[in-house]
Amino acid sequence: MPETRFATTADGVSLAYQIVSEGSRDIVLVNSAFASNMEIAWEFAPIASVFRGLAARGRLVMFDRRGAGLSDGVSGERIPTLETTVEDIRTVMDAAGSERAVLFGIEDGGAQSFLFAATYPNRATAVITIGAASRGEWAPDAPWLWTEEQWSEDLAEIERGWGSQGYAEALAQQVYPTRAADDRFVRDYARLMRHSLRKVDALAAERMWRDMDVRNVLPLIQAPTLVMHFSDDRIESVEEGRYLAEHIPGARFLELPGADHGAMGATVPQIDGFLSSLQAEEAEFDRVLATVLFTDIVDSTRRAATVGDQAWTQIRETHDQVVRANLARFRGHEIKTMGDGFLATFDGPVRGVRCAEAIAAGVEPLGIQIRAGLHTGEVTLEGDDVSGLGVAIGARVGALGGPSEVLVTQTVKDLVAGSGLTFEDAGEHELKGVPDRWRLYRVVT
Amino acid sequence: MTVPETRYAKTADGVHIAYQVLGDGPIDVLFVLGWLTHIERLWEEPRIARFLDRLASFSRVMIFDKRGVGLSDRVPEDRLPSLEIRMDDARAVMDAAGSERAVVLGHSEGGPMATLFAATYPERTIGLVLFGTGLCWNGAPDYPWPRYGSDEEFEELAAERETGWGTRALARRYVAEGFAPSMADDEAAVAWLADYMRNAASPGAAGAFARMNRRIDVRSALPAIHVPTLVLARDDDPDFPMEETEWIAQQIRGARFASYPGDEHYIFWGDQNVLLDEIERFVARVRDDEADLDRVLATVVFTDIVDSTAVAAKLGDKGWKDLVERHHGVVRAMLGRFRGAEVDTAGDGFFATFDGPARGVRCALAIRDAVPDLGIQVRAGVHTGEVELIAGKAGGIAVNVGARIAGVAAPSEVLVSHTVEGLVSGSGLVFEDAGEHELKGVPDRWQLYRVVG
Repeated sequence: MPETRFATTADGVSLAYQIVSEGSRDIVLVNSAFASNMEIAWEFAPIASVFRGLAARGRLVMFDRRGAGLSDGVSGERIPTLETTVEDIRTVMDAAGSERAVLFGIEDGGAQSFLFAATYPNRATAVITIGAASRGEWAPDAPWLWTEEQWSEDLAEIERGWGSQGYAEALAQQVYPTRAADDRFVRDYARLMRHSLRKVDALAAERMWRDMDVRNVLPLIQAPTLVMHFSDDRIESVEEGRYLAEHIPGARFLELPGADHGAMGATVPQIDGFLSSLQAEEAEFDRVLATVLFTDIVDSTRRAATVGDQAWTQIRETHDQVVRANLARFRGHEIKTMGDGFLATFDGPVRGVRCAEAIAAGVEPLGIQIRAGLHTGEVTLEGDDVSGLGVAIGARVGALGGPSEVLVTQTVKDLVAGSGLTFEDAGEHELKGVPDRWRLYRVVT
Repeated sequence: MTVPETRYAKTADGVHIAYQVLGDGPIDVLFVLGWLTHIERLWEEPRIARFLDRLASFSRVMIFDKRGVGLSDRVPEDRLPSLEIRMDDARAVMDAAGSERAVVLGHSEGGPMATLFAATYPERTIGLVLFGTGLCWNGAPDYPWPRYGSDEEFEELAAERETGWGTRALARRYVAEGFAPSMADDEAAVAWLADYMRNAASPGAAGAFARMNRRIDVRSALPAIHVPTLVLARDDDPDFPMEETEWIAQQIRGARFASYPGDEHYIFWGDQNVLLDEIERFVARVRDDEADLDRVLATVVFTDIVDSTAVAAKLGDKGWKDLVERHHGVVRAMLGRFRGAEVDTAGDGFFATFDGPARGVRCALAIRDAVPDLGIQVRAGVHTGEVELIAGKAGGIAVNVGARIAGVAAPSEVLVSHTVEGLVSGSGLVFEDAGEHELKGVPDRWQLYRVVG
């Protein structure tokens, strides 16, 4: 089981969370309040299989909501509102170093995920829900929701039997009908409930659930959304799932056969098609327009042999200082050193060109010369590194430069028009491994 | 000019550094004064006030008292600031004054710190200006300008300083031998200096600073300076010989050096206009460079509600206001999703920037597809080019181009420039030729493309 850690909210509440796995995509699991004790849930088969399924699909972050499970207790009347939970999700994401994530909301966790995505569109990559609802109580336009009488009966049952075997069995018949006859399953289910919420908190959570209504935020959700619902769900009618999908712009609806309510391991693979469509979009989100600069010391092997190891080390160090000082001055980002050269990116091409010129002039007193190449294009950010065709082109252009020469592509030349930089034609070139012929230009100082 | 308000910057180690900000010019100047200072008493000398006024007429000037001196927190003599600590103090002042980068102007004993600062923090230094200064107090075989002939001479001077600190007699000697020999008979200047010394530091602190400064040697920082540099001197500077200052200029790549007639070491005395003229020219030049440096490549997206006047008339004020709010909600949600930065809303239109052109185009498409639910249509234009960031707002020709492109788009059309079309190759976006257009107020004819998927 992963380590349980704690994040502290702005109002001083400790929230238990786990980072279950590593992966290139962050997934935040917003579980049902009734199953909000991570350490016990790992021992409850249907939930643990969801954990494992999600962990296989990204970097899974999950937490216990305030007042539940391993998080600080805030009893009864102070049970968190939806808004509080939204802030708590953010706190957990910050603590886990998650800039943006796919939210996976189970049952009541769905409404929280919807509200989060509407409130923080730039932190929700996507929303996936199962057995979710956007409102608690019956309404003329939502006749499939529970009536006041049904809610009263539900609350009375919690009051009477919370955490007991009998209550768990009755609930299992609604939530996991295929497993309700299994004693061991029911025992574990009761145990998870008891460890998630105390009775007073279960009642408060259920009352809040009854009064909840997030219908007006559904049209504001811009994140790609997948709504899953079992067709014969006995707790939350599939009509509600359809309603959600209709009111969230562009949402996909996936009706699963069966009479279960919440998530189980088998439901997780259903999200794969949706995730792969996301991936295509995310790949684009990590692409930014950047100007890449490659520099390299001309004839370094020969120079090193001439001056000797010790002197060469000194020259190299000074060269690195010159490059770094100019990157700082022209606001470039050092990506890495490569052999005797540097790869850096700039958010303005003029600055990249001026920096290359300054480096070329700055290293001459050391008795060495550099070649430099620049290209502007979309690059893919991968942590601290960059990749993509734009980077490959920059590298090829850099390799073609003569001593103290700064070469740029047509793109750079076009983009810096009006900057006062002047260029001369350096001919058309093939760039190894890059399609087309490329017209290059030499910067004239 | 009234004396500016003195403020305090707090350093990471909890020391308060007194500083003033003068003027509101378009470029920041961090003025590192020499020796012992008092930023309020400074203003009582009319020539200094005039100098600062003029400097502040073309820049935003920061002056400060280093820790242990003037109005800044006093520190025990054994904890007087090294040059490194003084740089931290200077950065605390810049941070407090909201200055990301500045031209660093170092005079006299302020020169070594300014030099080290420019070498250490190129990302915070726009340019370096030095006047009448030296970098190695003890001298060296290749630096034949020691400040004291011998230890005995240093001790003699120290004894005089201790007994005569703050007297007119000592102040007159300092003027005659160090500040400006030609002004030794200027009683007002002498009286001001005597008073200034007492206020700037106690005799103990003055002695401790002198002992510490004897160790100054920052020659090794010179090759690490890669910012535009201007070095100025006076031909007969009695404190730091002109040749010494000139030598510094020779060691800094691309530095400009100029020396002017006169025997005034103190930057404020003598003909200050020739120095200020030179500094003003330098500042104007690096400011142009800086404008270049403030340009970033961005993709600008403009959207606009089609026929807004007619729609507004139909809906009435209240209905229109509601609609605009909902429209803004949709656009902002899309900007969030596609990571655009909202720059401006002009009535019913949006102006946003993106760091990736494909995302800008996709965001424009998403907005176009979302707003028909509200019963309206938008037109959109996308262009990529260098924009100037002024106080966080983007401006420049590229912005005008983007706005004009949106202006020629048809309802529910997303038009992009040739630049955008070229940059997003490989993104899967599909374009069709939308013909050549004149864009009002922008030279040339522009080939535009319609996004079709």
